[in-house]
Amino acid sequence: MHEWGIAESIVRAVLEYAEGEGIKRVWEVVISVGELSQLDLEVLRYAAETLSKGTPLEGAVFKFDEEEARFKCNRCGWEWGFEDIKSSIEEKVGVRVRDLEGGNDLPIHYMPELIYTYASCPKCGSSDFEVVSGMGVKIVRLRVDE
Amino acid sequence: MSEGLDYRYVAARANLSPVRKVLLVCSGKGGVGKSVLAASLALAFKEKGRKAGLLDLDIHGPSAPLVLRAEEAELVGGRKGLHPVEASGVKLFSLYYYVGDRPVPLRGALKESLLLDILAGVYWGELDYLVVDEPPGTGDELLVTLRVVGSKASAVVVTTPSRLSLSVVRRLVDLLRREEIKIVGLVENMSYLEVSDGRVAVFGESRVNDLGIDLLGRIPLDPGLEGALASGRGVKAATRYWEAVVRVAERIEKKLSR
Repeated sequence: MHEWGIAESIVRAVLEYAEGEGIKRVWEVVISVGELSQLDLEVLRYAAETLSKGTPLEGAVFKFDEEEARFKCNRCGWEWGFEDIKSSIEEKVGVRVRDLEGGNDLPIHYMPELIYTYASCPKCGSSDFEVVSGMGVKIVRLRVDE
Repeated sequence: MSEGLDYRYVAARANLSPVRKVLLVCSGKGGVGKSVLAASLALAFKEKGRKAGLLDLDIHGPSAPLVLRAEEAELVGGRKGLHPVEASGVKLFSLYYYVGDRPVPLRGALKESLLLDILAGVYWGELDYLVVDEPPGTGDELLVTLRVVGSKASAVVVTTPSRLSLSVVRRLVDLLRREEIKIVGLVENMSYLEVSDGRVAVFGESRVNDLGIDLLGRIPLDPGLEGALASGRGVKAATRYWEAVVRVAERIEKKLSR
């Protein structure tokens, strides 16, 4: 459950930012979440809310902008989504990270950039492609009381 | 926060907070034996009873598991992130376990992002020394590490006596000084070859004194090293190499304790 670690850092990052900007209260935190990170958003939300207790973030709403993963081949121009390659990635990767709390994760759960190692263009087979969207996790907006 | 907040810097600092010292093993160019030296130094610290970790940041050629005789490992993650692998008593993170022999074709910004994932996502716990095997040169990998680790970092610079290696090392030293990173000293690797009637300076006579950095040690070319690693006996089986590394580790400890 990597989500707890991410939630802890998100809460800490927002608190540090709020302190630096003289913000007294944070009401809403909007987080952009790329599909490739394979995060369980319910766990992330629960963890963030739990870890916010007793801080100026307590009671804040955590909203997620889910970003679909899209790819474009630089060689043949083909465009595709994660769903188009997911099953072949699961087959090809061959490595799993055992979660101490149960289950197994693909390494892209921890390091989405490794998609460049595991995937290739479904049409021409090239490794020279772009992840157009849906890669990482970022705090994009806050609603606050100054 | 027009560009958003990247929580990974906070996560990386938190992950490194129980680590007492971060030792960046850097070189100006590839092929000077930096990776084997970094892994060997981590092992030498562990042999001296220290809690040691090795972070293999060589994205394009991760090799530490071979040196530490831990090519197979179960990968485990928990609430705080990825757990390092236990390799000959050293806590190790290497992309080798995730990509094997496959290429990692990343451009600049993506490389930086992957490194941030690693620095933010690997939970080390308490360590006396975290040895970081930096990729050669003064590129993104080094800059990101310096940004995250900052004042906790000290650098060990590795070179061979060759004129080419030394000229590139100058640029690295300039960068480290500009970023105010403490340079513990310089290791001259492949310094000489011991033969029956003395020493042969294969790459020419040493010129490291020109750099104005303390010399931590000269490590010989040990013809037994390649065989020791390839056969799985490990770096300690290459006795000349290993003894020189242990002396370097002792000097580093002495310098860092001042």
